Amino acid sequence: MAETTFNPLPHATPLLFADGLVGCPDWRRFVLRRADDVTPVALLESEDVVGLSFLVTDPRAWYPDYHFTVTAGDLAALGAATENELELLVIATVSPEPFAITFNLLGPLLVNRAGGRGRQVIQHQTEYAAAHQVGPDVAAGLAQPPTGAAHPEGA
Amino acid sequence: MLVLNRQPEQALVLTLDGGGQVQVIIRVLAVEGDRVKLGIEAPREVIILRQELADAVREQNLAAARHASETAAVGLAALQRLLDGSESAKPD
Repeated sequence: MAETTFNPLPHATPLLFADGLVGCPDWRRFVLRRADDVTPVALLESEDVVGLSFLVTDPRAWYPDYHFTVTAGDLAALGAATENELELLVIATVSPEPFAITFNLLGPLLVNRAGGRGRQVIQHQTEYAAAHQVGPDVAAGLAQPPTGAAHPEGA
Repeated sequence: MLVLNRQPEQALVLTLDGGGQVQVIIRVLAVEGDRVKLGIEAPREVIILRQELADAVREQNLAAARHASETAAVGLAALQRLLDGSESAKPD
């Protein structure tokens, strides 16, 4: 595989995930790095574990019908008054051989960038998968709903 | 692990006593073959999850972390190509 170069990611936002990630409570401090304010893909670099850097993306850039639930507890933990203050990201898993990308649509990340807080929330009332294959649906049109998400009842 | 026998319509009351009590009632509503139907009464701030979903998210977090150091940049470039309308997500 050739060395891949990519644009530097000058926009860096420190984020505290006070509860850690699901199942990984020690992974709390991250820096969100992105190329600019509009690109919906970014890197979430751990400040706690050297070399740990998650690829993250806004799932609505790929699946406009993606819906999720924010609770009052989520807002309080993130220091946000309304969910309009929050950004939505999901972690992408990249498998090298054979090359494949999946999105964790079941456990999205809510981010209050202004407040420097983040939280991973499990969406238990959906059919979303933790390893949703990013496949021809995305490559073809960027607009098909994820397989199995048969209940677009609104956000 | 505490093990208790319950019959349909019987319940358990869990009280979290950490300065200000929080009470959760778990009731057996019905037993149908190998399925047990539970009713749960809890304040809104109590998070109730099916364990397999939490397990799936945890497993995927660990999977994403496993190859992260060598693949995150490649994946970022691949997703950017997809967003730009390229035909393939595969790396060059």
